[in-house]
Amino acid sequence: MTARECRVELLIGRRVVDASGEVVGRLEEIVADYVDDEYVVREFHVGAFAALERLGTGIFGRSLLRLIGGGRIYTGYIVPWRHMDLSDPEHPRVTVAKSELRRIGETPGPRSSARPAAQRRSRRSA
Amino acid sequence: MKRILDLTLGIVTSIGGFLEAGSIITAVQAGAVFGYKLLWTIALGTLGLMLLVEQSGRLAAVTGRTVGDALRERFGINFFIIPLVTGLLVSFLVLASEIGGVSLALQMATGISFQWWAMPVAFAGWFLLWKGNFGVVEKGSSLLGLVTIVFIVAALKLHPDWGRVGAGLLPTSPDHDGPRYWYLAVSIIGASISPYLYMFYSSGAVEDGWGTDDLSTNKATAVIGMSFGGVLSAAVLIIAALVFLPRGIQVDRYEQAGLLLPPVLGHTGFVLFLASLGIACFGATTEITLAMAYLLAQGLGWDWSENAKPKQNARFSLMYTVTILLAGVVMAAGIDPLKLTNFSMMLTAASLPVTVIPMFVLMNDEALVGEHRNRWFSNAALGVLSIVTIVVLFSAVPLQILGGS
Amino acid sequence: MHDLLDKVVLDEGRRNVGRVDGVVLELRPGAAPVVSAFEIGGRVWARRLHGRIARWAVAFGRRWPALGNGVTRFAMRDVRTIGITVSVKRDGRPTPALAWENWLREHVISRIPGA
Repeated sequence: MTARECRVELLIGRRVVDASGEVVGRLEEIVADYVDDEYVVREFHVGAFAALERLGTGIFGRSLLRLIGGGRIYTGYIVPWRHMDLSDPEHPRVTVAKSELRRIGETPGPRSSARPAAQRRSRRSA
Repeated sequence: MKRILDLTLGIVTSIGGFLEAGSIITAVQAGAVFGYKLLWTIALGTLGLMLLVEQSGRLAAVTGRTVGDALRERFGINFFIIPLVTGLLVSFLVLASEIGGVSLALQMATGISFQWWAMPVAFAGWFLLWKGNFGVVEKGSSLLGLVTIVFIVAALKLHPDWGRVGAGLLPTSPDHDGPRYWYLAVSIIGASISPYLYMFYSSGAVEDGWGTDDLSTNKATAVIGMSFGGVLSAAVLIIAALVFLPRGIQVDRYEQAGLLLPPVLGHTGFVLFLASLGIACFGATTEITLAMAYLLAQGLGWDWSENAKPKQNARFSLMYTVTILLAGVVMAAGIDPLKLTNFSMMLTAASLPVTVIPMFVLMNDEALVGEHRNRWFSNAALGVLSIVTIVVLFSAVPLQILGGS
Repeated sequence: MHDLLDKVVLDEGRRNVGRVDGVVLELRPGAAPVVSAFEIGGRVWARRLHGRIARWAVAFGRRWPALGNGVTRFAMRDVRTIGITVSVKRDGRPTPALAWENWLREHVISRIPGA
C-alpha cells in the first residue's frame, strides 16, 4: 500500500472547494481519534470565517465573534475524512456538494468547531 | 502568614522595580513643561499596566503558561513572529537606554563619561544574571530600588497645591505646544506600560510556581504594587513641575534632571537622585534582558529558567549574554541616552497593540483559562486600553516628527 | 490539531526538546489519513510564515545550513501524552533539535566560569 505524506500545518488555512468548485471555506482543524495505537483522522473542519482565523489562528475571528455573538454567528462545515480529497495538498477538495455537509453549529457543543471532539486533551484528538 | 509575606514582598518589588529611565525622564519632562497637566497620562498608563500585570499573572497561575508560551500556543508561529520581532527590537532599544541611564548616573557621580561606563554596567548586569537566580535578580534590585521613595518624600516637602494636582488627573488639552504635549502623553503611556514588564511578570510567576491559590495575592500585588509605582512617577512629575517649570528649565539632558532634588533636599537629594536613577535603571536592565530572552526561548521551545544554572539552558543563557553586551556596545558608541530614552518610549507605545490585543483573546479563551477568564469589567477596561493603544499607534509617527525634540 | 501544533515537547527526561513545528499526515488510499509524526525544526516552522517572510527565512536557512540544522521527527507512536505539553518516550539529547543546545553548552557556556 503506497502512502503519501502531507503537512498538516500547511494544510490548515487553505481554501477548500466542494465537488462543483464552490468555496466551502478555509480548513481550520483536523480532528483525529486515537484508535489501535494510531491517530486516525476522523474529520476536517472547514470554517466560513476561517479567513479571519488565518490572522494567526483566531486572534480576531472566532474568539471575538464568539464574545459578541455567543457562538451563534460562527459556522463551519464538518467534512468526514472520506469526503476530503487531498491529492493536491495545496488545493484540498471536498468530493461532495457543500449542501451535503453537516454544519458545525448543528452538533451540540458550546464552543463549536475545533473543540467538541478535542475537549479531552490527553492522548486523543491531535 | 506566608501569604501576607508573599504579598508584602510582591508589593515591595513592584514599587522598587517600577521606575526606570523612561518613566523618570518622561515624568521630569512632562512636569517641566506642562506642570501637572499630564498627570492623567501617568494615571492612565498605570491603570493599564495594572490590568495587564494582573492578567498575565492570572494566566501564568491558572495555566502554567507564560505570556510568551501562550502567544505561540494559542496563535501559532505565524502570528507569534510579529510580537516576537517587535518585542525584541523595541525592548533592545529600551534596554540600551536603561544602560544609558545607569551610565549617566555614574557619569554624574564621577565625572567619567557615560560611554566608559556602558560596558562595565552591561557586564555587571550580565554577571548578576549569570550567577544569580530569579529571586536574587528580581528582589535584589527591587529592594534597593526602594530608594526611589525619596521622590515621594521630596514631593511632599514641596507642599504642592493638591487641588491643582488633582485637576491634573483629569485629561485636559494643552494651552501651548500641542504636539509636544501629546508626544509626551504617548511617551508616558509607553513608559508605564512597557510590555517587558508584564511579560517578565508572567515568567516570574511560572518560575515561582504560582497556582490558583495565588490568584488573590496576584491581584493585590498588581493593584497595590502598580498604584504605588504610579504614585512614584507622579511624584517625579510633581517635583519637576515645582522645581523646573517656574525656572523655565526644559530637560533635554540627563544632567539637567540631576537638578531635580537638590533644591528640595540639598546635596543629599542629588546623591539620592543618582542612586535612584542608577539603581532603577540597573534593575530594569536585568529585567528587560531576561524578558527578551524569555520571549525568544519560550516562543521557540528552548529550556529557559533563571533559576537553573546557565549550563542547563545554553541557548537561553547565550541569548541574554549577547543581548545585554550588545546593548552596552550601543551605549558605548555614544548614542545620546536621553534621545534614545525618548525615542524608545515612543516606540514602545506604538508597539502596544501587538501584545495588548492578544491578551484580550487569551484571557477570554475558556479552553485556556477556564472559569478564571475575564469578567466584564476587565474586558471593558482591556477593550478601552486596546483602543487607546491603536490610537497611539497611528499617532506615533506624526507625533515623533512634530513633537520630538 | 491545534492541540498538537506549537506545543512544547518534553522528552523522557522531562527536557525541553522544542515545540511541535509541523505535523505529518500519512495519506492512505482507501483508508482514513493518519497523523503519523510531528517535526521540530526551524526549517519546518519557517515555511508556515507568510509568503515573502517564509521565502526569506528559507533562503537564510540555506545560506547558514548549520543554523537551520536538521529536522527532528517523532513518530506518533513515540508520544506518551498530549496535554499542556507533548511528552515523548525518546531521549531528546541526540536529536538535531538539541544539537545547538548541546554544542553551545560544551563549547561556549561551560568555558565561562560560573556556569
